[in-house]
Amino acid sequence: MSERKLVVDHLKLTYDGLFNITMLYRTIDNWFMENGFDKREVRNQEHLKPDGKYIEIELQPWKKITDYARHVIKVQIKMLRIQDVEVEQDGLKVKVQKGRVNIIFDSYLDTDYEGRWEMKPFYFFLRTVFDKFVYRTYTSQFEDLLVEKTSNLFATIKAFLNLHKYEFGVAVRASDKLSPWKWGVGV
Amino acid sequence: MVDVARGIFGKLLSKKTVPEIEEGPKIHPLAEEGVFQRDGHFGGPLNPSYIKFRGIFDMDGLYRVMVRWLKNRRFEFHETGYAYKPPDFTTIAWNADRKKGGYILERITVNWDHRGVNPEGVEVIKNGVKKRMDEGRLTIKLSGEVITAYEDIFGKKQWNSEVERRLRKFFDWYVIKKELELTSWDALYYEVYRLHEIIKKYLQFEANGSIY
Repeated sequence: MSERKLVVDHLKLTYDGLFNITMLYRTIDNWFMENGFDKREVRNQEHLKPDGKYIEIELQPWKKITDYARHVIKVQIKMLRIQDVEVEQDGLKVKVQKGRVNIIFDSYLDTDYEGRWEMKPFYFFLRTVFDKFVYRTYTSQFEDLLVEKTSNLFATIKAFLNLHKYEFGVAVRASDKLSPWKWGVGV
Repeated sequence: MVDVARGIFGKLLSKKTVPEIEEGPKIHPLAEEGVFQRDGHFGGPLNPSYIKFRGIFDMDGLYRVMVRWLKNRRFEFHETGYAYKPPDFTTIAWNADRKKGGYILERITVNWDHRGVNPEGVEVIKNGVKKRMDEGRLTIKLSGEVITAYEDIFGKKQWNSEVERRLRKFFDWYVIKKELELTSWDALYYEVYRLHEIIKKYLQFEANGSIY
C-alpha cells in the first residue's frame, strides 16, 4: 500500500439558494482538466424524494507530480431538497435549481503509489528513511503546491456560487490546524 | 452556515446553530494498493465508478443502449451472471473484452444491482405514449483492466512458468511501460468514462456533461 498523507482536512463550503447543477459540475470538471488532473468519479447518486432530489457526488481526481508522488483532491458534494425553478435573467427564462449544497474538500499526497518500494522489508525501511530525511524538502514543496491548488479550487467554486462576499475559507494544512492563530479563521 | 466562534468571548456570544446534516466521524480513504506486483494485469484495475439512482427508469432501454455502445466499439460482450428474484433484487454482471493484438486484452466490467423490483412495472405517459418502466434502486459499477499475455481460447494461460512470468513482468514494467500506460490503460480508462456519461444522460442525471 502506498503512503498517504492528509494535507487538507475537511475544508467545507455550504450554499443555500439558486444555482445550476450542470454548470457547477462542469465548472469543477473543467478546473480539474485545466490543472492537469486525471478524472475519477467515485460515486454519482440521485434519489427522487417527495421534497426534491437528493444528489451526492464524490470526485477523487489525481495528478502525478513525479513517478513517486501524486496529488489527490477528494471533493464530496451533497445537494439536498433540489427543485427545478424558472427564473428570469436578462429578459430570458432560465431553468435553474434551488436547494442546499454542502461541499467538502480533502487533499492527500500519495508517495510510492505504484508500490515499488514495499515489496521487501529492507525496501520499505529505505523508503521510510528517504521520505523522512532525504526527500523532505521536496515533499514539503509538493504539500504547499497541493494546498495552493485546493485553495484555488475552493475559490473557483465560491466565485461560481457568488460567495465572494464571504472572505473566509482558506485551505489550511492539516498539520497547521493545531495552531489556529497562525492562519486566522477558517470555515 | 454555522457561525464560527472567535476570540475569548466568541463562544459565549456566538449563536449556536444545529447543522442540518449530522456530521459523523471524518473518514479518509486509505491509499490504494500498489500495483507493481499484480501478475498479468498491468496498472491494476481501473478505478471503479458507481452510479446510483432511485426512482423510475427504463431498464430495458438502458440495457440495450449499453450493449449497443459496447458492440459498436468492437468489444466482445459476455454476460457472466444474471440473477432475477423479484421483488428482492436483480443482479447482472458483464465482461466486455477487446483484444489489441496477440498480447494485450482490454476488459470493461459492468455490475448491475437493482433492488425493490416491481415485476409489474409502472405505467408512465411519456410524450403522449404509454410506456412501461421500472422503479426501485439501481446501482451500476463500472470498472475494467488491461491484461497482458491473456488466456488463449482454451483458457490456458500464456507465459505462465516461473521464468516466463518474471520475463513478462520485466517486459511490462520496464520495456513497454509507457506504451501500455498511454495507449492502453489511459485510453480504456477514459473510454469507460464515456460509457459513464451515456448512462448518466439516459437516466437524466443533473450532474452530467463531462469536459474530459
